[in-house]
Amino acid sequence: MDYFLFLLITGIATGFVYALLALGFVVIYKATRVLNFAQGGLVMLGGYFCFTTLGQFGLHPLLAFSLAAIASITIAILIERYLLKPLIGKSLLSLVMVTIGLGSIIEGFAIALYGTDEQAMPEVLPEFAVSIGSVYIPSIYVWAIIISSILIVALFLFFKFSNLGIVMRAVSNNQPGALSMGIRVNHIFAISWILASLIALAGGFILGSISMMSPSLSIVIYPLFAAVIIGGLDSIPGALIGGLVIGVLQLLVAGYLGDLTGASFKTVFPFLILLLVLMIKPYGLFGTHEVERL
Amino acid sequence: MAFYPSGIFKVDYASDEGLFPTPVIIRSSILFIIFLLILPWFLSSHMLYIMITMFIAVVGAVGLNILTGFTGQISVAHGAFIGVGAYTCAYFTQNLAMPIWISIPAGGILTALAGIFFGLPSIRIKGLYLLMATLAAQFFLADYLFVRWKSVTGGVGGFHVNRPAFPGIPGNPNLGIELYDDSRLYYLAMVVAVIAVFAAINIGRSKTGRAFKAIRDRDIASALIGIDVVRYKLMSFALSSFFAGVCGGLLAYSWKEISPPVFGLDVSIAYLAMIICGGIGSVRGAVLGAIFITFLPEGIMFIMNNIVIDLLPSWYNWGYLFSGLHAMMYGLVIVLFLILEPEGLNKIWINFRNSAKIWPFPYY
Amino acid sequence: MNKLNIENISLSFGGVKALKNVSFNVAEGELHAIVGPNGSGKTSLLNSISGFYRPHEGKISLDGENLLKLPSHIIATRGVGRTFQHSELFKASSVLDNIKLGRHIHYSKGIFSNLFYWGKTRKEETAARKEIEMEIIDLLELESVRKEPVGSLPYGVQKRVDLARALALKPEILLLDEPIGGMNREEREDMVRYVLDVHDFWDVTVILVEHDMSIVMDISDRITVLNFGQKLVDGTPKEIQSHPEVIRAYLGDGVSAESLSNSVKE
Ligand SMILES: Nc1ncnc2c1ncn2[C@@H]1O[C@H](COP(=O)(O)OP(=O)(O)OP(=O)(O)O)[C@@H](O)[C@H]1O
Ligand SMILES: [Mg+2]
Repeated sequence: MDYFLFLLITGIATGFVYALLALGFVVIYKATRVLNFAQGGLVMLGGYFCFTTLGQFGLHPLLAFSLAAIASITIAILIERYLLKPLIGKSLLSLVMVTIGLGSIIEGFAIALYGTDEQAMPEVLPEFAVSIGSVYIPSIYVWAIIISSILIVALFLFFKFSNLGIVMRAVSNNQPGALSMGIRVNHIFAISWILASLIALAGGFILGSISMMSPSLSIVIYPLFAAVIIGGLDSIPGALIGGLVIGVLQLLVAGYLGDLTGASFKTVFPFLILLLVLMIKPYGLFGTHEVERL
Repeated sequence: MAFYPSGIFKVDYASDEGLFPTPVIIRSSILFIIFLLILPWFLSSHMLYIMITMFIAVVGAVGLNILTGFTGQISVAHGAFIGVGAYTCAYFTQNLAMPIWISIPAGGILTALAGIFFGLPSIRIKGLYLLMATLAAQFFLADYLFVRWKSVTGGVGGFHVNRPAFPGIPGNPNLGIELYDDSRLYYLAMVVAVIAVFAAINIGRSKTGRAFKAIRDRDIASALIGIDVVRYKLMSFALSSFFAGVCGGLLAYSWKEISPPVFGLDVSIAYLAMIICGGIGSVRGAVLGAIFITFLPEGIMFIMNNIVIDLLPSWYNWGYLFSGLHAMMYGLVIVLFLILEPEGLNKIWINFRNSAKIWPFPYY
Repeated sequence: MNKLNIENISLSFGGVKALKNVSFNVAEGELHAIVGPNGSGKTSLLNSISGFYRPHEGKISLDGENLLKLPSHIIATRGVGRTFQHSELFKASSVLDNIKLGRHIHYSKGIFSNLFYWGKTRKEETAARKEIEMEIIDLLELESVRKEPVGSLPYGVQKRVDLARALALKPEILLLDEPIGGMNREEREDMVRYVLDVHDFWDVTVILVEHDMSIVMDISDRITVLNFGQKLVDGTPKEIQSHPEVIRAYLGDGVSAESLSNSVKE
């Protein structure tokens, strides 16, 4: 029972991070119709930015995070400007492949700079002991829930009430319409990449703290895929629910079936769910199925 | 000094439908094949190995081009499909003592079946959602099935396969010309590659290939003019996987040792890189791409070992740079080609050919 | 004898009722026009015949066979050829390849023969090419563009390629969705001539969706008028011309015209 409770709570915490990161996917997808295969790479890169500014430079956390954020924003702008913009209007294959390529470029960079060994993220968040009954929960999981939910709420408010958020929604609903209203659609594209990369930065920091920093952190993209497919690629509530579901299931499965099925099952398992969802409800629980016309 | 006619006049439809537009091309194709035939005598053992790898890559790339280039179904499961072929061939040779002319087709056919199975979602979904399904197939096969089905695949410990002889008989695959020497395997790989290329070209210019391309361009309209979209999509998965399976079988014989990681997602991406840098949808492009991607690591190694290594500061762990470059090279190729030359090496080739034709007197 | 029977079909998209209880018959060899204002359901009707839309009620039968149970690629094999209102051509392929695709159902050699082109496939390809050249390219005057990618051709020529692709199927019934829409006068005349030629010499039944009433009146044997998804009337051009409902649908509601003049007085 305690074991279950432990897995459940850590699973929920992981799920919150997944939900946040899945939002990063959806933000880009809704604005640009690009499924960002480099999102995992961006998460990993964000983690390393924090690792460098906090650990290697030894800066004050506030300064360190600001610096990391500036780096993330710069990367996002460069990506949008030099990789995505030239491909506007090109085939789905080009759009997908450029982000797949980008993902492996980021991974290569990280390996060239940091090697493949695992390194510990400096601990800057205050430690405190949380125990539920006799179950002890490491404080980083609590932080994961707190930070992710704050950011998720902030994103919600941003889209609901801020001017820019409303404009972004307009662009995602009707791009030609938005263009004709004088909205600079390509600025909106850039902004959605910036948002996604900031989300990735936060996620990278949390995930890097939960486990360790290494270039293979980018494989977080796979459970994220499962999360967004469950939710539907273009649905924000879908992303949140999908993220939570996958986080919890993944930890439960690893915790209970790990011995039975081998470690590799943890990576494969989200895909089994993904396949199942695709078979039963191809456009996810909340996604929209665009009806084709002649 | 050779004179070429100023134009080729085709007087019947058969010649207009033909493969070789000019006698010059027939002649140069024959010369090229002769060149390939005598090449092994001049190659170092390392280069021989690279050439074999290249032929095998050609088979795989031409196969992926059928699915992704012709039919427009993006697949990131090609690496795993190659694995299915490799394990099947290895199993047929090693455990069932089947000769090479049974094992390789068996590898192809079993992989084709796997391709149909994992292509089934394409009946209902397309685009990004289908891509997800192929990603799932890739992980299920390479990271789970190959690892866990130890009795057949040997798990992470790998599977050892002896190179059979050619042709061999059922029960004794080692009867005939031994292939232990790479210079002999070279010819097998070359013949298979040439057959694969011609088969792909033929598919591309007949009913089946036209239907594939129609589905890629506009699937609804295709159905309304009488194309059974589901059937052709699955056929495309089957055919492409068949090529992947044959490619995998040859790989197993070339390496003699296979294990799950060599069929990972990065292999799928490498093959996508081949067809993208070659020029998506063209068989010639797939061939050029396979050649380019096979030689790329060699080129990078050469530059690293001879130039870059001396420039690096001494505290830097240059092993990092190697692994980093290795991880990013396919991605880099994909991105650079997509941005700078979306039509790939094929386009560069055509431009080159057109300007060579009128050299030294361009019209402008 | 009736080639096509449409009985009481209804089709809706969410709240929009695209077709309501539409019934009419098309006789063998007839040139049957369907007219109606924008959004009246003409395209939806053609799409229902070719199986892209599935009416929830009613029956569509071709030579006595119910089409509603057949997938669309099978419907095509029953001899239903069609053109499209908005281009549905394979833009990256050449004119010739588009036409060959139209003939898809008549190529019998399968994938294995295709893999080894030399032999049966080659014979078939050459024979088909010859037929296409003589019957279609020649008729529609597409010789000069046969190797061009369709996407690079002017709109009027693309419309002709669309017709060529439909003809390549050797249709028994040809569905034409606004084949002369958006064309200039000269192109219209050419296209009308092609349609008439095909109708006369190929012995095909034609269903023609068209806005231009003068042309429709000129060339069709029978006309069905749709309005808001419902059939107003059908009949010969003569009968249609003088039908009060048609005039009302085309020229606006007489009642509202009256009330308009009333409101001006007040
Ligand atoms: N796939 C679809 N989804 C939703 N509504 C549709 C769809 N197809 C058609 N409709 C609706 O059905 C109605 C009839 O449309 P249809 O295209 O058949 O009209 P039409 O007579 O061909 O008009 P036009 O002369 O403009 O071509 C319209 O209100 C249209 O919006
Ligand atoms: Mg219409």
